[in-house]
Amino acid sequence: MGVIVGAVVGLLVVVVVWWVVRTYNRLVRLRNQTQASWAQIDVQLKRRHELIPNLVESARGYAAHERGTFEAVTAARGAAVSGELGVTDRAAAEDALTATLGKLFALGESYPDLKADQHFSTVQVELRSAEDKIAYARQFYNSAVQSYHTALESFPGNVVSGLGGAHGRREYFEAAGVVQDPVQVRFA
Amino acid sequence: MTLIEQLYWGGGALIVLWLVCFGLALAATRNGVVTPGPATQEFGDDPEPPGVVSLLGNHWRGVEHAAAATLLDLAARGLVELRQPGDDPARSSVHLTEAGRTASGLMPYEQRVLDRVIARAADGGAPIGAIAFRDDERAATWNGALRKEIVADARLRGLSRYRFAPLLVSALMTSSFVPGALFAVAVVMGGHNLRAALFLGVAPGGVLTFLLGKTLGERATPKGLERAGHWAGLRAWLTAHEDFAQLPPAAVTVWDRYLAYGTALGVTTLTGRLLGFDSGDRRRVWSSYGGTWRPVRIRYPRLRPGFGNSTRRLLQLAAAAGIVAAGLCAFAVLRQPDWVVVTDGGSLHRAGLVLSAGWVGSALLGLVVAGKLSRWTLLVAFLSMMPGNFVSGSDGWFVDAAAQDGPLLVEWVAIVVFGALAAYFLVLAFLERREPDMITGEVLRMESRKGKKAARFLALDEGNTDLTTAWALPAASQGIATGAHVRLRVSRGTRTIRSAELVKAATWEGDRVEAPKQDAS
Repeated sequence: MGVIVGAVVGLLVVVVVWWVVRTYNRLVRLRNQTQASWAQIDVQLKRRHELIPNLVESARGYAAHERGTFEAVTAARGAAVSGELGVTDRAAAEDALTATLGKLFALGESYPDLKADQHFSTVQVELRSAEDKIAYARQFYNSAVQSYHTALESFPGNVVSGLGGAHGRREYFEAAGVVQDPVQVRFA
Repeated sequence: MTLIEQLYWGGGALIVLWLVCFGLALAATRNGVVTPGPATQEFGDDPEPPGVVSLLGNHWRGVEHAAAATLLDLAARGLVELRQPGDDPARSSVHLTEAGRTASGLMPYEQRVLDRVIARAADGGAPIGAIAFRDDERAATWNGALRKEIVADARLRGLSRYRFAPLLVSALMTSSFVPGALFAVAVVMGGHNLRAALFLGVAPGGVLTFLLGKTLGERATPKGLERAGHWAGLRAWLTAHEDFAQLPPAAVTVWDRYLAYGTALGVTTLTGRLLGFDSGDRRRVWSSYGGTWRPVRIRYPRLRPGFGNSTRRLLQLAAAAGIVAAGLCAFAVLRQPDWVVVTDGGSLHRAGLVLSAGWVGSALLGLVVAGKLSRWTLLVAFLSMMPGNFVSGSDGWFVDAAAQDGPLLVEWVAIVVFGALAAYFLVLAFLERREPDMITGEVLRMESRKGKKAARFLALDEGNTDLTTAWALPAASQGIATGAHVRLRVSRGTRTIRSAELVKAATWEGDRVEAPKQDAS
C-alpha cells in the first residue's frame, strides 16, 4: 500500500515539475521572441536613419530655401537616434520623424527638378520600403508582446513567472499619444 | 542447365540488375538537404510567389495550401478582398475588386485561382466555403492542373527540375520489360499456354514500371535548396509568433503577404483549413440558388429501407421480409423440446457465443471503419444471434429456448421487425403508383454508392430550405452534373428520381473546362 501511495506521489511530483519547466520555458521563449522582434525593428529603423541624410542632401540642392523642413527632419532624426529611449518614447520619436519626412517627400511635388533627380527618387523608394518593413516589424513586435503578456497574466504563467527569470512586462511599440488621446467623435 | 532454365535465370538476374540500377538512380537523384536560414521576416529580393514557396516548403513533394496561399496573395495585392463580418472566421467572404476584374499578366496558377473566385463571386461576393468544388473529381483535376502550373513556374525560376532525366526514364521503362520478354519466351518454349506467357511477359514490367512511376516527380536544384533555406527561415520566424497560426483569412488586410507565405509554409493553420479548394464538406454545402448564399445541410439516407428502389424491387423485398417473419413465427410456435441438439456447455453453445460476439464486433468495426452501419451488417448481425437461442441452458445471454412455450423475446422482436418491414415495403410500392412530384433546383452534390448498379445520391437545393435529403438518381442516368439546374420528377416515398430535365447546364467554374453536353434522361 505504501509503495503505491509513494509511486502516485512521485508521479504527481514528476508531472508538476514537468509542467512548471514547460511553462517556464514557454515564457522564456516568448520573452526571447519579443527581443528578436525588437531587434528587427531596430535594424529597420537604423536603415531608415542612415538613408535620411542622403535624402536631405539631395533635396537641399534643389530647394535650398526650404530650410525649415530640412531642419525639422534633421531635428526629428536627431531625437530618434539620440540616447537610450524607451520603447514608447522611441515610437513617438519615430512617428514625429515620419511626419516630417512626409513634408520632405512633398517637396518633390513642388520642385519638378527635385522630383526628376534620380538619387532623390532612389532614396525615396528605399525609405518607403524601409518604412513598410518597419510597419511589419512593428506588427510582429506588438504581436509577440501581446502573446507574452497573455502568457504572463494567465494561469499557470502568472504563477511560474514569480519563480524568477526577469519576466516583466514589455512596452508596445506605439506612441503613447496614439492610444491615450480620447477618440474624437463628431456628430454632424 | 537447359535453355528454358537459362531464360528464367537470365530474366531473374535482369530484374535484380534493374533494381540495382534503379536504386542507384534514386540515391543519385535524392533531394538535397535544406539548411534552414536564420529566422527572418524578410522575403528577400524578388521573392517567389506563395504558390512556388509552397512547393519548396513541401520539399518538392506537393503544393499543399498553394491555392489558399495564392488567394491570400491576390488579396494582399488588392485583386480580391476577404471580409469577416462577425467573430466566426468560417463566415468570411471573398469579393472581387475592380482591379481583380481587369487583372492581367498573372501567372497561370494565379489566374486559375482568380478565375475560380470570379466564377463563384461573380455577383459581388461569396462565402469562402463556396470556393470548394463540391465534386471530388473536379477538385482533383483542378488541383492537379494547379500543381503542374506551379511546378512549371518553379522550373522556369531554376528552383526545380525533373527527378530523372527523360532519357533515363525511357531507358528504365524499356528495360523493365526485357525480363518479362525472356520469361514469356521460356513459357512458350516450355509448352505452356499463351495466356501464361502473356501474364509472365507483362507482369514484371508492370510492377517495375509502377515502382518507377511512384518515384517520378520533382527535385531541387542548388538554387532551389538555397531559396528553400531562406523560406525555412521565414517559417521559423512566423512559427515563433504563436498567434500567427490562428489568424483568420481576413487578417490579410493587416498582414498582407505574410499571411500568404505563412499559409504556403503551413504556419497559418486556420487560414489554410478555411480556404479549401478541395471537394468541400459533403454534408454542408454553400448554395446561392434562390439569390442568396446560404449553407445547406445534406442528409444521405444510407440506412433508409427501400431508398431508390423500383416498385418491382419493393414488392420483392416485401415478400422476402414477409417470408422471414412468417418463417420465424412458424418456427417459434412449432418448436418442440426434443429439438435441442446440444446440452449445456456444448459446442453449439460456444458457437452461439462466438457468433454473438461476432455481431457486436462487426457492428463496432462497421462504426469505426466505415463510420456507419449498413442495413446488411445489421441484418447479418441480428441473424447471427439466432443460434444462441437453440442452445439448452440458461447461463450468460442465452435461455432455454426449446423449453419455452411460444416465441422468445428476441424472436418476437425479429417477427415484428420483419413484419413491419414487409408492410412498409408494401406501402412504399403502393405509393409508387401515384403521379410523381415535380421539383426544381440546383444540384449541390452527387455521390456514388456502393455497387455499380446502385443509384447515386443527388442532393438538390430547391431554394426553400437549409436542410435537404439526397435523392436516388438511377445509375443509368447520364448528363446531370453538380451545379446544373434541373427539373426532376420524383417519388417521395423511395426518394427516387423518375426523370430529369436540364434547365441550365453546369459550368465548370474557374477551371476553364467546357461543361459536358447535358441530356435529359
